[in-house]
Amino acid sequence: MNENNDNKFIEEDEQMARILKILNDIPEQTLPETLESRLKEALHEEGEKIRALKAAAEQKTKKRKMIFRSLSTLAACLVVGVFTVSMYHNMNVDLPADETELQPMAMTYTEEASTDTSDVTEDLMADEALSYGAYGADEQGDLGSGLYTEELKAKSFASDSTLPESRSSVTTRDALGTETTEEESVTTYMMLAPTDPNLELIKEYLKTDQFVVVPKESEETAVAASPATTGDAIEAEETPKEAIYEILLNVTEEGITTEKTLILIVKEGEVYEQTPAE
Amino acid sequence: MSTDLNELRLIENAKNGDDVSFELLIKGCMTKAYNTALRFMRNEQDAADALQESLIKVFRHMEQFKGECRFDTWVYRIVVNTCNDMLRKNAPLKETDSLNRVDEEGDWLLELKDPAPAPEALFESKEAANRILRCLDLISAEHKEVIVLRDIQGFSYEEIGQIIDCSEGTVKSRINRARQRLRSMILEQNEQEFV
Repeated sequence: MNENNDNKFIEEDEQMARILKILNDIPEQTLPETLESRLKEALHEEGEKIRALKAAAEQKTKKRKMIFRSLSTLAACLVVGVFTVSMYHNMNVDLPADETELQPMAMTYTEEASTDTSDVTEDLMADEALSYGAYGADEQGDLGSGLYTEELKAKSFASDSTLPESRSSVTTRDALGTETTEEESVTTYMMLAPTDPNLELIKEYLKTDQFVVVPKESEETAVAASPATTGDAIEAEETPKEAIYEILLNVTEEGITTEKTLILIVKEGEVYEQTPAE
Repeated sequence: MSTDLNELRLIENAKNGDDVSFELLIKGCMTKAYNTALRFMRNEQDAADALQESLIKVFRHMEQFKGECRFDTWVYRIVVNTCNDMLRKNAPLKETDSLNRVDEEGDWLLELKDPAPAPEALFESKEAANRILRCLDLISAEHKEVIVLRDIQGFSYEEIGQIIDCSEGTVKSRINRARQRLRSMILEQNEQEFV
């Protein structure tokens, strides 16, 4: 039985060995002649396709890079622009209005004032303005007396039609003498327009024709006093039916010049005088 | 090492669509690839078509070659897969090929160029090979695959593992089963006459 099995296994092994030998002995075939040329042609075509695809992909990449670069440049410009604008705004906010606007103005008027030092009224008006307290006490302290003097001298040029047109916010005193902070109230001279219907009434009330009417571009216009007058600055508050004018007067008596504030209320063609509050 | 560098350079050029570099690259493995295809397809024309299609696939997908195995092994793998695909598609149509032609008397003939043996031995050898190849077509594709690669083309177990994408152990066991199956098939077909 075992011998039969052994013989069977041996026979199977022999059969397998013969099969494998036959398979191993199958000779290798050479390539057909037509295959090489055909393959060469096909590969050449495929190569062209691949190169074209590569070129297209490369071009696409280049284009994408170019777009990215352009967008980056634009973004950088935008950022720089925004940064510049914000810096500009920050600078404007950081600088106090007094320093940005008052200082150049003061310098201007210093020059002008120095050209006409003989004008007595300038000094008078400067003193008057100081006593009037058109600027708050704090601000006076902050700005310094020198600067403020220059500013007051500048005001005296109202008589020469060179009144400053506008200034930044300054604390002023209203008709009742209470201090208020107003936008544009730095214009110490609330001016009367030449066409102000109350101008003649005020002149008549004050019994003087020596007001100099200074036309202004703004809605507010000025009436300033000539050097010979005693009244020089007028601050007006216009209402449709009632107008209040605060007028500073330099009153000279026995060679001593004193100041007097006069509040005039013009109502329905009549001028009333009101004593200013202390 | 210089060969490797040269091959790497050719691979890089081929990846950029240089067909001349690709031709140089495949020159060394063309014959073996053709014979592998021939054993699978059993027809010169089909084998040539399969090889051409395989090589164009290789050229087109050169970017996918990462150098994880040898380049020629990668080519053989694509050749085997292409042949399997073509056989699957043409299974109902193809029955004969140039190697296994039927002669006037209706017997299978294997057209092989075998210079060494004597005419009698040649006849026996051709006849035997012819019968074995016929039986090879009757076993499963995965068994045929390993028999062709190992016993006809002489690839190593490692190469076969890389070509058919499985482990060396799997290859060995599969080859063993495939051989047993082939022997059984041969016996079934013509046991007394052939063996």
